[in-house]
Amino acid sequence: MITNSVVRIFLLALVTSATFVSCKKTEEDVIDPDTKNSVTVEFENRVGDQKLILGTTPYKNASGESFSLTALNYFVSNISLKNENGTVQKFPNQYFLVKQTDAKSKLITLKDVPSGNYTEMSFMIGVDSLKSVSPVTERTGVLDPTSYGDDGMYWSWNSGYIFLKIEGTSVAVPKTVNANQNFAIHVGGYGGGWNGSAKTVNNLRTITVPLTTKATVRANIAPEVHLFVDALKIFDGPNKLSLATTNSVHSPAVATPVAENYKTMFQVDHVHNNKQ
Amino acid sequence: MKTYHLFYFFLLLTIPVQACDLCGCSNGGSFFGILPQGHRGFMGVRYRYNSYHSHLNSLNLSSHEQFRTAELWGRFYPAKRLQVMAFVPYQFSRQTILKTGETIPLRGLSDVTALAHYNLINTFMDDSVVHTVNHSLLVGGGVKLPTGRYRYDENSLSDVANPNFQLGTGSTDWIGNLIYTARYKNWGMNADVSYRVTSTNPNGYRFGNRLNTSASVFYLASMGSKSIMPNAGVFVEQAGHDIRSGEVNKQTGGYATYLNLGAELYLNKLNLGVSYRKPVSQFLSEGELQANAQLTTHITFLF
Repeated sequence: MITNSVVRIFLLALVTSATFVSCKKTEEDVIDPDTKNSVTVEFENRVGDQKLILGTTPYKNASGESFSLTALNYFVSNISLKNENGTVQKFPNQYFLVKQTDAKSKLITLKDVPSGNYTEMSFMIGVDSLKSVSPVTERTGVLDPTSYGDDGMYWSWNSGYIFLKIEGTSVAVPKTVNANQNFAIHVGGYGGGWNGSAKTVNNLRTITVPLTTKATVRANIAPEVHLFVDALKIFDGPNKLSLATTNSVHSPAVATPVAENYKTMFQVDHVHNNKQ
Repeated sequence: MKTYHLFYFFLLLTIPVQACDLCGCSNGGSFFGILPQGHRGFMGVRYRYNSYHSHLNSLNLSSHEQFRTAELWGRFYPAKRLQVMAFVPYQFSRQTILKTGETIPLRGLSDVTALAHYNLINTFMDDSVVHTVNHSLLVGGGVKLPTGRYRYDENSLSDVANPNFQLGTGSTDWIGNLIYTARYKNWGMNADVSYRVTSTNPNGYRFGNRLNTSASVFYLASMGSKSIMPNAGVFVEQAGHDIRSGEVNKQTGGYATYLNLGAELYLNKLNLGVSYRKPVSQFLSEGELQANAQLTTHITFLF
């Protein structure tokens, strides 16, 4: 008898577990605009189809120049999300500094996003002119000019923040330019003048990317937008830049072709809409 | 030792807080299929092919993982009602990135499993009465050892920085299972349930606990000393979410249900088998992972 009951319990467990896993979820999806959740945007820096690894990992640009990278930093601001009805949700006064050396900085969290199906995202690379000229007391956190240490993101002598910088080493850099063949490309210039000096060019660029899979914000769904950022585009964008000639960029006037290039380096790879 | 701990500490620091660890996990292991019957030990080789499509919605990361496993397996009877089983898998697998066509190989010893079962019920040998229906219930468990490589270099272009595409899990896991067989004349049914309790590996990664269930029917046709046993059944695997550095990764785990068709051929002391599994219903890694059909073959010597 013990035999039979053990067998029965065993079979029951088997059937129950098989039934359980074959159940299909069929819940109705209702968008309640009064509910909110967060959206996380991940910036995954890459070089072409390869991972971006700082140090000595060799990469090659379209000019055939081999190089390695030691730094990639950029400011992200003025993010907005557009939903399928065309309504734009803005996130003003939020500034983020993405640094390849800091894994946490590559994840940006937008809070209190109303429920909806979002189909497009826009953001600015850099710090807008209004913020750039605001009193230093209003520029805290990643905008604090004294916070960067050796990894400067601010031109104290002329034009405000460095919107993006990429640094590394390449044998293409003439030793007459830099004995260690290092290159440093710093892009800035919000279009203002410093202390009454002449206005710089405006190198602020706004990037708009479609969300191929809609980000479906719900009370129980906090989407994650996974962006791929291809640093190779900084050299191989609309403008072909060779490290033999473009290896030391430190003023807004000469940085415009670089800004035009990095405007094309962002792509939404995929979107996760997982239930919480 | 201290330096090792520091090393792990830094390793953890460099791992991004959130990563897409989607990938077919071949670490399920130690499933039985229909075991050669009789109170006999055996030794043999199993060959298993299974594949997955991962990151289904990703433009750049979509990949195809092919897992090929050759596995030594054996069963021994140190005591009348005690069976001991061992599985020593060797993998030669690869991942192909669909966008670039780049393939990354994965080859080496995987995680070894050892199990022991007590034959709690066995009407074949419990009494001398002739039964119309005979039952056998094996109750037992065992351990899966971290013999396969599981460390990977985040800063290497050739390593797949994904805990799911490694030779092993890096953890010592405990397994409990039940194997039930019933026979009526030439017909039989076989069912097994296996539950694996995982532990955190030295990289701070813990795979979700895993429940494997299978049920199948078989028919034994004998011709002299030879016999053939066609079989069909259902296999269900369920896994919980993985945990990385204390944080639950929701894009892992899930379930898959497979239909199973196979045949076993017995030629005296030789047993050959083939089994084909087709997924019929699945939801793995929040739908980002797709399991494809699997094929298992084995050649086993009974003694």
